[in-house]
Amino acid sequence: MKNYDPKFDEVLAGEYVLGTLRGRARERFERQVEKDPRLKDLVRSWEKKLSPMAEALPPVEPSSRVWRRIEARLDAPSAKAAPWWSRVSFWRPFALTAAAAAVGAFLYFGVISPRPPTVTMPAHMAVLADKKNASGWVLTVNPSAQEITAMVMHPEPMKPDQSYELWMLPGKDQAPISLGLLPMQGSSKMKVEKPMFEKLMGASGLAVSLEPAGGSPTGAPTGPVMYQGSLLALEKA
Amino acid sequence: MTSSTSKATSYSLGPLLKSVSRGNKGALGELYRLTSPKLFSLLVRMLKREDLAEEVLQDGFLSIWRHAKDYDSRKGAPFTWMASIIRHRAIDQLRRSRHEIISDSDSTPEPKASNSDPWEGLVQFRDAEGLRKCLEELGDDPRRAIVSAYYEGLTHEDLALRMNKPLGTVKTWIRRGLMSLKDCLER
Repeated sequence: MKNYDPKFDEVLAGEYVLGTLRGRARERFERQVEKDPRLKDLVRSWEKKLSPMAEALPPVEPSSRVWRRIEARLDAPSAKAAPWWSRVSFWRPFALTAAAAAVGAFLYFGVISPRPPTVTMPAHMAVLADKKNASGWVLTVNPSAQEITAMVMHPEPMKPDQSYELWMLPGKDQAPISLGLLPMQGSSKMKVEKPMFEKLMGASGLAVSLEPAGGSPTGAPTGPVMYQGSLLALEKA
Repeated sequence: MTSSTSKATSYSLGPLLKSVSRGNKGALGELYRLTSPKLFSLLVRMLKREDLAEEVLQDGFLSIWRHAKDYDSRKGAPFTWMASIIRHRAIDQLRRSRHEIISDSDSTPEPKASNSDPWEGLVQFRDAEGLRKCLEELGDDPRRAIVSAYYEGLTHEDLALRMNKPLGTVKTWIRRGLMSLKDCLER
């Protein structure tokens, strides 16, 4: 370990993530990474650096048969030993230094808002997405406070005389019930009264319609439905 | 809107992935709905065949399902973790079917999805601005080499053929390019 050139490892890790490192050199590097936390960090750092390239791609919807096949195989035990990068503790913490923890917390929460780096798991959440699966808002539900938090992602901008209104769809043949207006910046909390909250837990879906500023004048959606989603229980059922 | 993944990634995918690690199939479905279009786009581009891209997407999500408990949010964003698993599998697939793909390439039409220029996406995608600027600083040849390697899973040899340059030149472009990229991104 005396003479190692940090630049050499840096480039090797970069080539590995880029994919140009192939054959035996690739296998050898994978074996080294498994043993060497420093190399692991280099690999992760390159993955993070290059990941915007994947995120920037125009979405291409895969055929629905792919998900059907995945779903059909979820209960099957894995047949062969998984390769190291999915098998291992690769993403599990090592000796986590305070600095690394701070960077991690920043990565995770930096774009959102100052929140403590302990993730309080919401009991339920819903992603309200448009037809192209672009997220408008993320809703998280706190059952003990009977409260919904709506966090803005990237909703389509609207005219000043318009509002986005959130509706729950209680089920077949029942009229949508308004849960309130959605924010266009940051986040907002919506209180839900108890009987309504129980209905919400059993609701078949959520929808967002475009309404005149201040919300629908009739108590029912009057504009087009722009986003949809459904509540998902995050605890294992 | 191409820029929707990043923020949604950090906020909504984290709890979903955590829930997947506890065996919640519904959460996996939601994770799939939100991320599969980008991941599939990447796979089609790398593998040039939709059937192979579907196969790798499927295996990749089964791997995500089984190994979600290994994901540590302190080590990076959920999308980065997922994309890494998918890309590794695609590179394995390329290695396995390399000859087949090369000999087929005349008869198999490229899927439409891979025709658009990935650079365009990078220009429009707000969260990629830092990376795009640093790639631009590299100069045309090293940039083209790095971008083609990432999106198409090309080896040094493939790149040398494609760019009609000696192998050594291409290797140097990649290595120097990566170092400059790192310096630029960490500046």
